[in-house]
Amino acid sequence: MAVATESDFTALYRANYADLRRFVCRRVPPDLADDIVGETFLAAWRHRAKLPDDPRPWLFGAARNVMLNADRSIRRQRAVAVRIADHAGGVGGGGDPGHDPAGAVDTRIDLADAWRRLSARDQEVLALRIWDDLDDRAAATVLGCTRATYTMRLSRARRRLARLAAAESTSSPFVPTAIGVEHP
Amino acid sequence: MKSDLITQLTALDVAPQRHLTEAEARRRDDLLVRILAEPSTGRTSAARPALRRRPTLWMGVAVAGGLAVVVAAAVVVAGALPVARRLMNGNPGIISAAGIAAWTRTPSGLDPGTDLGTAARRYCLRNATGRPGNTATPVISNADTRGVVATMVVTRGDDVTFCLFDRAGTGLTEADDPVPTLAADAVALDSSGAHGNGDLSFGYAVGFAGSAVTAVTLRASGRTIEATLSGGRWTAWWPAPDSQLDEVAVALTDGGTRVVEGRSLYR
Repeated sequence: MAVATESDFTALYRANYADLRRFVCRRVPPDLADDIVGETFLAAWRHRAKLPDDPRPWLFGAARNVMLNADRSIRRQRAVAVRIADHAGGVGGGGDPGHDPAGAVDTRIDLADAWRRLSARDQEVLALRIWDDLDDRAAATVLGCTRATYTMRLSRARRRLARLAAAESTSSPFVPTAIGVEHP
Repeated sequence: MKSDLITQLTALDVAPQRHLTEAEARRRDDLLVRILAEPSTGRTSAARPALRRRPTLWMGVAVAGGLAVVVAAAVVVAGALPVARRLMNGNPGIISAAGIAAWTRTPSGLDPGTDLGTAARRYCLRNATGRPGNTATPVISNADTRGVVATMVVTRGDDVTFCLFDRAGTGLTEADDPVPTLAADAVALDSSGAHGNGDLSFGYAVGFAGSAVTAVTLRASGRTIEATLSGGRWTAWWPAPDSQLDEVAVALTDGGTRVVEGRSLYR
């Protein structure tokens, strides 16, 4: 991407600011998000001549590295855990359970609990697809792996989430095969 | 209502799309002004409103210019070696130049009584993945060496870790799946990855094999690699810039062989 001028960078910044902030807010408390977004865009500014045509995966990957580097306890995990909305709709709009069919609320509770039991790496792999809306190639760029590796990790993370959700849900008819359990 | 997990997860996003508040929009605009006031290289001028920064990051960016290397370089510079050892991607130091040079296509069993065996076991147990507080007794399998690099699988109940350790003290660990039930002559890929840069890059793969499989041989990056097979799980690593498997050949108990195209293993 030819970011030759301040005007070019301003356009890039405005086009990606909200998405990057959401990406970061999924992974750190909101009071830390501004700092991480700031450092990420500053890195983009400093390296504007080398930014790829689609800067979004680059920005997400840079933000991820800032987060990994920001806290020793996070860094030890080698992946950034991804937050999930409280099943009661608390953190960020998980929905109003008062307007949710009872079965759906139960399922979300199970699913949120299952999510929290996933490894940070599995959370990260799934979140890139589900919430950050990246395709396999872009997600692989963020994680610094090959597309084939990401695809495989995604498949495995889905399996593990399905397994955990099924274990959490003793009363709800979760059907793990709905998302592709591969083994008999 | 319960169609699939992905649909339901979508509703549990902590940061769903919405308009910025006035305060957020103001911070966004202020940030842009401060960034544009930054020089393209060098440090923030004291006269300018400074962004809080972490210098190690910039060092990494400046050296690499690529995302994969940023953290690795930064961490090494910062001297936080335990962290560097556990980075998954782009760390040029996971396997040393000596480790790459001494690689062998055929693995040897890892002698636990050697310095390498002792250090590898200590590293792999310390960095094993899985649930915190898992007290299950660790079982080590697939322990091998290729030159001065050891790999093994540590199983603690349902928590399975593939571990690679270089005599230099660096390595990686990765969470893997328990061995599933496969057809007797079948082979499957559990995980693979590529790490490092340039001459220090390497690929690795971990997979499963059915009960009638007696040997697994990989073809990747122009190399032929004999995997270590134990208890239905096979493991291997090799010098290469990527981990793409071209084909996997298996030897069977009846003396037959079977070749599986690598691409078919990535599902």
